[in-house]
Amino acid sequence: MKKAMKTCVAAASALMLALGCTSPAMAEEASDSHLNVALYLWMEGLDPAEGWNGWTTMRCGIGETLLTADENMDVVPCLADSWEQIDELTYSFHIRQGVKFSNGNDLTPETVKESIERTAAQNSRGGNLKLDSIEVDGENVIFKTTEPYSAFVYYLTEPMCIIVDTTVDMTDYNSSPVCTGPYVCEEYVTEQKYELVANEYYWDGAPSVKSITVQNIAGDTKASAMLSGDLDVAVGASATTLAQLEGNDQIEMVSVTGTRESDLEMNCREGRPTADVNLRKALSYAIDRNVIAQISGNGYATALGKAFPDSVGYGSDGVEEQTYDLEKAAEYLAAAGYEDADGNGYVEKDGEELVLTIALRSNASTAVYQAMQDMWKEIGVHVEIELMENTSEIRDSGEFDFIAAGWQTVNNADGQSYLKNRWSDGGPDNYSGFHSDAFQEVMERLDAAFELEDRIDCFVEAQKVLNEECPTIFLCADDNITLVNTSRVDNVTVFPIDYYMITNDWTIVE
Amino acid sequence: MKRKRKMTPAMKKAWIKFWVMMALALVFVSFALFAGVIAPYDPLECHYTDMLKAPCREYIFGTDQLGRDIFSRILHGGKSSLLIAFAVTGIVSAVGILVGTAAGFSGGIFDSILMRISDMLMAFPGSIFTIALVSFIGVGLPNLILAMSLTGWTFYARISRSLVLSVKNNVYIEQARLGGASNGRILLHYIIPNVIPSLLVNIFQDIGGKLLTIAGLSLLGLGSPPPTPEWGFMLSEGKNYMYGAPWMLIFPGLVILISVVIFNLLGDSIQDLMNPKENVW
Repeated sequence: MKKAMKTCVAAASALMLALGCTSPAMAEEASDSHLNVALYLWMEGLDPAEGWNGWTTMRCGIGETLLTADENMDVVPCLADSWEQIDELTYSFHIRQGVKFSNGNDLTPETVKESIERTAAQNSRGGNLKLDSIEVDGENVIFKTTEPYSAFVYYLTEPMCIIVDTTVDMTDYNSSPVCTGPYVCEEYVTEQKYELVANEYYWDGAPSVKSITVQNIAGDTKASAMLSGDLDVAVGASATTLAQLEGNDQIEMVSVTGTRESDLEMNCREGRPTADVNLRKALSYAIDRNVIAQISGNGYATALGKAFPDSVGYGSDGVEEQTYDLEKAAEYLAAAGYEDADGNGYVEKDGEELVLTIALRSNASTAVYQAMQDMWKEIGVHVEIELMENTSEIRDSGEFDFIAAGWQTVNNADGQSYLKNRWSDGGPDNYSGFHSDAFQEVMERLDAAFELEDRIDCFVEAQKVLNEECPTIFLCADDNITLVNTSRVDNVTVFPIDYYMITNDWTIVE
Repeated sequence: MKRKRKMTPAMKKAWIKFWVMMALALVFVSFALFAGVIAPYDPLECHYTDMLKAPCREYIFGTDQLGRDIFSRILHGGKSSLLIAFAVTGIVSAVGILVGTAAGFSGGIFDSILMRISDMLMAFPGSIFTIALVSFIGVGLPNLILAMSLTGWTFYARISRSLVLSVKNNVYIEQARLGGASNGRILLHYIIPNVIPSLLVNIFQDIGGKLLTIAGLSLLGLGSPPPTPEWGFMLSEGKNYMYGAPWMLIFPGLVILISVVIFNLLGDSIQDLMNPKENVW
């Protein structure tokens, strides 16, 4: 132990020496217009064509899309300065003139076409674009979809549709993509940091903050890191750690009602106990969501009994919510054929005790699931918690009873992709193997609904189906909390969608 | 040097220290053993109306984020922590002493092979190796015991081997051999009785170390799956509430500290008792 301490001290002093060696001029310049930030979530890689990487590229202010969603969740122009829908299948986007990539190349309609084609081909969600063809017409890019697809325009705000320069070598795009945003990634250290510098070619005014370090800091420690001055802006600090910021007038806590939800997915595949809708409903009715929201959010979350939080504004009042009702839980449990015949407090079916397992990562916070385990014990359902290094394996193979999930519900300023990816046939995030004819029918209707009113009708209908068939136990909607050190940085806009963060408006407080 | 078998003041002091520490350890163990009787609440019972309550008359150590009584959880957690610590220490010392004496006594190639195996295991940093093993074979109580045992025995093997080597060539062993004693008899009656007392110190001090390792592993989420109460896991659950509900952290931390100190001091006191300078007669 002593030896370990000595080693630590030695290492620390070596580090200090090394730091002391950097030239004072450099250090001064860095402190002048340099910021340290933590993103909502640390993810590896920046190439928008791969998985969810584009979300990091967007958070860092490196990439931009043709259209974007503003702080009121309205879709507004970005790299395209205007657009129109020509017919049910065809859209024309006018590409903004005078925009340059961070390497000095011009943004042309041809690169837009190639960039979107690249994402559509390489990204697992690329098929969601339903692209038939992309054509260049002067300064315009003409998109054609394979079928009437009302979500198309919204989809172009998805970070996977970030426009990259396709005219140069793209092999290193996970560490240094060439995009049009206000910042450029100068250095990427796996699991540690992204070093950002201002993009001198930025079309919408050069950012006044010259460099930003994006640090990989866990949600549990973000609040402490803000207090110690290691971070200037942080998104996604754990709600349970926020108490320490009370009374601190330098650190501002901006909380917007989140558009993210937390839930528990149940495996709906044949042969699994939870394939039985009655059991799923019994489990859902046994959960007191107000308690769960309190445990999970510590005052920064609200109970959720349907797919969309009210803040999203999808007129969800008409949806009958999943509620806490032990009598109904008992009814559904009996309807599923379970009873406690041997009197040990846990129900069986055909003489076999029902034992379900919640699989969690070993570093996950388990409090919410321990509470659910306790609530299910009330109705006699035996649930075990299993901790494992990695849950994605069993999630992908479908060998689970429950999987904890949390999703952004309005990915593209629109609820369609969330619904479709998670619960429709073949949806890339449909881990519970859920299938419902009624749900499929609503999704088809949604594709053809171009008017906002009709879309909202579909969203309401879809939520009703989900609560009727109950593949998912909705738990709570978390507030989106941004911590800002107001003595260091100003003009920080907080967006309801957590993949927007760094903008060119940020300024350093003198 | 004294020739007579008489207690020196130092010896007396050592005995007093030993009995005090022994009594404290016994108190600790019995708290854990009778957790079911002493604990005012079921350690798993959630009180959703009393979440994060500060210590009060109802809950003397306060409640955690699910409204569970921390005092009851600490008592029940002690049971599993002490059980694992005793089990692991028992296993590693038994295996280590057996391997070490066998290697030291027989010598030759057998000795070389056993010692190279132990060298290999000792080359890894113990706790990191344990963490890697647990992550690999999966979390849970039996796996935890297995992983800790796999890395722990080498220490005992090393020490007992060197102790055996130092007594093996003593005259009284030669005499026993001349007298016709078999190898087994020499081992059991002459060598092991000479080795065990010196190792007792290590064994008791090791219990403290093991308690700390267990707390560390369960802090990392590698112990028993929740909701089983475990000290380390309680710390890990409490760390997020450090500012709002410090009692979630303080009490399990204190208990870990006290238990480790008690077992280390107990080991120390045994060492004092066996200090050859005072113990020669």
